[in-house]
Amino acid sequence: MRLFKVALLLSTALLLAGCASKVISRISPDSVTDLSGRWNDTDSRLVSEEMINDCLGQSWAMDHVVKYGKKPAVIVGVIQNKSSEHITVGTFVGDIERAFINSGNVRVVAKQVEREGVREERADQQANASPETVKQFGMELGADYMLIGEMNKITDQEGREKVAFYQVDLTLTDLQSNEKVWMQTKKLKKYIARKAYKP
Amino acid sequence: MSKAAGRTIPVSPYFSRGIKGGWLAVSPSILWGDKRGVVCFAVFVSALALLFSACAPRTALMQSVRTDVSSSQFEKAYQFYAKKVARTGRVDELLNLGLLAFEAGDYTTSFRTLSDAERLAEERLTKSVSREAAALVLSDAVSAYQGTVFDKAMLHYYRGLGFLAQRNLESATVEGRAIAQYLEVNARESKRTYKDDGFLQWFSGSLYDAYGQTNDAWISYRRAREIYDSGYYALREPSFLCPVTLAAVRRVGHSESETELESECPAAAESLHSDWGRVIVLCEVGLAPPILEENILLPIYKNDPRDFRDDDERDRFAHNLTLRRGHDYQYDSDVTLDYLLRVALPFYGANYAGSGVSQVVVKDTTGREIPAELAENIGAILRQDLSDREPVILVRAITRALIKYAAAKAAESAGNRHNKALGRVLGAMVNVAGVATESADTRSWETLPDRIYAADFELPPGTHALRAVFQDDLGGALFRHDFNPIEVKSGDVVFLRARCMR
Repeated sequence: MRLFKVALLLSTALLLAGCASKVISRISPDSVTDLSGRWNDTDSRLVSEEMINDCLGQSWAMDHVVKYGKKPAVIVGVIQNKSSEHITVGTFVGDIERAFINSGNVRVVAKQVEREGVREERADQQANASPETVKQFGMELGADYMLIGEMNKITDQEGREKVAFYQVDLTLTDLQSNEKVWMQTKKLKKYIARKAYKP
Repeated sequence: MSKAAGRTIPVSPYFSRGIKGGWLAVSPSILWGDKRGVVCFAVFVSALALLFSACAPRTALMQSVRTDVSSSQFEKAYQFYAKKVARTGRVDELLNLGLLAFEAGDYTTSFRTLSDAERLAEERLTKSVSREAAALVLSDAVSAYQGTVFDKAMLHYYRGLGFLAQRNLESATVEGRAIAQYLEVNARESKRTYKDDGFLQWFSGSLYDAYGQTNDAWISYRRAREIYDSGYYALREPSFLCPVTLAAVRRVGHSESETELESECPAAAESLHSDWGRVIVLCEVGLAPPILEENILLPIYKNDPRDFRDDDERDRFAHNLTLRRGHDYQYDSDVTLDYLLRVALPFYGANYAGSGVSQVVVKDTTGREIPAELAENIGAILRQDLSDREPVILVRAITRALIKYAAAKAAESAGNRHNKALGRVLGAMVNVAGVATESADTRSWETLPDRIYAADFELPPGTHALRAVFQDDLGGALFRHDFNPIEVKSGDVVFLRARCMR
């Protein structure tokens, strides 16, 4: 009888294998989750934390205040993806912009894509907004510095083992003088091993 | 009778003849020591057969898709296939769907689907023990299909083309890097014929070039030339490869290599224009061959071993049986045939012609004709890949047939202990389940083209109208594709693609 039960159980399990339901649970955004070994939210967070801490801890912003008597304005330029993965740089770039604004020491100018939308709205105001509220063209805040960078990835693989090395380089350049006032690199290294068999 | 798509060979009446003893030393034979055990096994095999039937290759579905694609009705084929394989978890179906979505211009779905295929294929490098065991007992079609190495390289090609169609060069270049990275690992580790890919290396290099990574482009071009020079599926190195490599070397500034290349393609060395733009035309033709199924019969003699100490001994016997395949096998005169073992194997039809196109030329408005050269013979790559895998597939198929046969005989003899009628019923049940589940693994990326022709040339800055003419072996035009006018800028690379189903 025991064998019959085992066979029946095994058969049912096999038939139901294709009907496995989806499991969804809420987890903390700060939790470390590595599934495929590719670039993920944790990597993005580690990069933004490192970059923010370093960038706001350096003297370039204070130097600007001393020199010009006003807070520096920064614009985020192109972060080139030179890796073999499709990486969303918007997540950590957004974190950096937020940290700049919340620090109260740095002003952030809207990116090119965002500006286009704002300009469309301003153009619309010229025709539709009341004279006392309409905003003028040519009064935009010009950035003092531009944040640019690139992401690179090096992989080494043998059999089922792989090492992925990511490097994110960010540079803050003075738009007037081309002087680089801040540079930082964040390196991440991952070891990914794949099992030959699973149950 | 075997499947309609495959060769039809009648199953021998000898197949049902009985033999004494069990075939399995390590087997579920412990289950059929009594009546309940036999029932258990019958239930188990039936469930497996039912499960397998759900995973059976969708031959009819693909036949319909191939018919639509053959008549260039990509949108229709895409809509139909997408409805049929919605929420699929099969790598082959995701690959087919991804390419159909690409052909239909749905680049977002194409990228997502091909990415799913890549992720699943990667996950399936970790084999499921239960699935592999089921595959050994039932059919290779039960094992999780992970796509061929070529499939996994080509999906980056189509994702790259999808990004280029959306004018997203950065993301297309990411795919180019993924190709180079994937092929580098495969070239080191693969034990099969397809190790690296001349065409994909050149394509990857072209993406690097377009993105401004000239040094990486040079490395990829150099690798492509090495691959073609080593006899890449009997293809000659395309004549444009030396000039583009030379142009890359000049930009890199490696004088030693420049001198070497100038001597290899002296005409190009004189005619390269640093202030012109570059145009790449990819002309895909036909449909890749489908994998068919054939059933072969192998003779088992009365004096062949019946009991095996372990799986290794059974596998060795299975390997010896493979030598009995084919017309040139010399049958011993002093042996008596016991029965014929039937196994289903995948094969590519020898007479399949992927396309009637023999040559492709690209014409511009001035009447200048630039030949597009055969750069990738996908049909040949797929055939060779299956040929490389064939010995392993054959041994596995024979082992599986032996297990099925042993299971049927063991069920029958266990039933016979109670009464002969029960024995016959149980033996027949297991036998029917075994025969029903015996099928070859015919899954593949069938929507791929059969061949890819490529042209790579320079044009002066300005607007140009180009046409690709697909010709038969006599030079007659089978199909013309007029590209939308292109704007060529100095130093830029323009990618164009057309597919001919004639």
